Amino acid sequence: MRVTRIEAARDRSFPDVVEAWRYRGLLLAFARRNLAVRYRQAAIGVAWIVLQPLIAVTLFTFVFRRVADLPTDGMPYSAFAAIGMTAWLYFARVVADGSNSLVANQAMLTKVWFPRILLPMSHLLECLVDYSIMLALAGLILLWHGVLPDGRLAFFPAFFLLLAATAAGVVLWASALNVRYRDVRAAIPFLLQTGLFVSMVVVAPQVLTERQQMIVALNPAAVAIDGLRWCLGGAGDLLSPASLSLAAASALATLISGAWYFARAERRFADVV
Amino acid sequence: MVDFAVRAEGLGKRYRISSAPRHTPALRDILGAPLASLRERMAARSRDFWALRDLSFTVRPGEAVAFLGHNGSGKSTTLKILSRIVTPTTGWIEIAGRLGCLLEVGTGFHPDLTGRENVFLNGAILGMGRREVKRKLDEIVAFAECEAFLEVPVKRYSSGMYTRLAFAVAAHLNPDVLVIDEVLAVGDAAFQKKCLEKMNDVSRQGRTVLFVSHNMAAVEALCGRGILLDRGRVLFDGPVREAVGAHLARLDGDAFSPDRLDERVAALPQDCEAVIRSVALRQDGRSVGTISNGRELEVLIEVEVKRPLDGFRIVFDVCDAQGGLIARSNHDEKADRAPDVIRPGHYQARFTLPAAFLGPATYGFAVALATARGWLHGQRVEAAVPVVNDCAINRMQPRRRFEGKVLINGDWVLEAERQNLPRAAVR
Repeated sequence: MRVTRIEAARDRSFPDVVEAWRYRGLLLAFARRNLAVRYRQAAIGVAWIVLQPLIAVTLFTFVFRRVADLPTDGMPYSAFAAIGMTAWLYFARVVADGSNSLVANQAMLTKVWFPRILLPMSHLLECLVDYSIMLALAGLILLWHGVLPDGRLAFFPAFFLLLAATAAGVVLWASALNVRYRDVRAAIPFLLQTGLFVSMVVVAPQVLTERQQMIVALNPAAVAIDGLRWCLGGAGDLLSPASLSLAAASALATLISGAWYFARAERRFADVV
Repeated sequence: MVDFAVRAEGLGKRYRISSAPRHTPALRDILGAPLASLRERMAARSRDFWALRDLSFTVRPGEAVAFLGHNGSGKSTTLKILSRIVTPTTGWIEIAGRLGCLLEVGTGFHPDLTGRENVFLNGAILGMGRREVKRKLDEIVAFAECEAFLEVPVKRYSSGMYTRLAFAVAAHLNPDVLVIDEVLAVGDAAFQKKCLEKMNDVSRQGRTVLFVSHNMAAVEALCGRGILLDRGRVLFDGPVREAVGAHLARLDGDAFSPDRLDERVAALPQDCEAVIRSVALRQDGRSVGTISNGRELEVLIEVEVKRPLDGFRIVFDVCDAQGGLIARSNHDEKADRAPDVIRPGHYQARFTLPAAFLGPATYGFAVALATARGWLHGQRVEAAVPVVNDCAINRMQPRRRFEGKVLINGDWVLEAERQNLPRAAVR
């Protein structure tokens, strides 16, 4: 029989990963719940998953291609926008829902115990379902343009991981901060709006100078999205190795610092929320 | 195999109560003026309050233990530490095996999910796999009597059904230690009985039950052992009958004396717009702790009003020993016009409770302050007050048990009718 020991408060500097792993079933249950709740009592239900990127891509193609004629590094604009937009929607949805997850489940925080980290993290899993459906839509658009996958597809997991790790880091920070400072709730939608442009969803970063590219690479989401376009949509070239490593380092730093802050704040969630 | 189910050693929980009006600073405050914010926080006088102090106990597997005590004695804090919602300030606690916890009915239920989905979610929160829950599903549903509603979102459930399902999940998912806080307060009598039986089953199967309830009959029926807490410390730990007896005796007010009342008044928060300065109970001009119901009771209340208050009211409550309100009186209830704005200053109120109103029992008295916006938070003093019978009611039957809550002091007339006059005249 396992003995759980609860001791006088002592700050952890990293979440208890072993315990979280033991509760992996709950992670799944939360993800399943979020998914079930999101489209319940919605008239067209799951169709929303496809509708959102479809409308965005159509609009972007019109505005940024027809009107502004932005460079896409050799891709048809609608394909360019489809891969970028679906990846961005994944990121944005995880961040938006994840950062609110602790506050939204206040009643649970003060009444039952479970590894708190599961709540924000469950959104990474939940949105994966949306993302796969959206990805299929992007695939159809690619096929329509006659773009077929090649060997570069093998790099897809790496770039997706970069995107997910960034989202996880941001969500850890934002969800824990949100418990104490509700300012986060106001800031997130605005940051995501800005992020859409900063993350190079509408224009290829290759048009920028090397120096500017390094600045962009501080935001790992931008590099991940560009990478996804490279490995899925056959965009011309990848960013420089320097930019790639900078992005990876930046994502890792966000993730680790996020986990650190979360673990420190976790203990007082029930008192503060 | 371990020889305990729950073991606590030197458990303590301290809360810091700051007396300055406290709000969580917005990020803006801290970023904008870090020094001012810091200074403000340092200046906030805070005092420590130990909700729990040096609590140690061991519960063996299969035991059913009740935690008893007044509100604020530390019962709920203990359970919250047990269920890992709050962390203790000192000491430690060990739990052998899985802990199932029902601190509030239906926590973790999502209103939009169906009954079935919620059962699985709750199982996962208790650390259980889907397969395990699936095995138990029929039993849970049968207990909760909600077969027909399994695919309906729980927000459409009646509150009774909701409660039944929540209890069923917690009780059936085989926790090694089951913690139950006052769930029996909801639900009808039949359901309460069913819950008690189920909890009995649980403890007969060698699992451990920790129980908090104000229902003493349920406590005695279920538990073998009682731990009586008072202001965060263990007062008594032993057979449940004795624990309940000790608890009721304390409710019966022998712990009350006039100086205790002063203590409570002194402990009130001082930063309110109005503060109760003193409360005294007097009969025949003398300060009393025990009341004779044959004479009038004077309640003297001194209040300091610090700023003009709209609709200011002093409220006097008479409650039964369980805390249920019997009667309430406001200082201006006989006024013939709308309440004025009261001016700052010191005031003394005198309330006279007529004789032959209270029965021979223990009552809870409370004095509280309110304004047009509602209760003045924290300004409420309570005391348990025993009453002895020396009024003209039931004088001839001193041993009769007092039933009801208060005396009516009405007038009876029993007259013989004319046709049986002769027999009545015989005596």
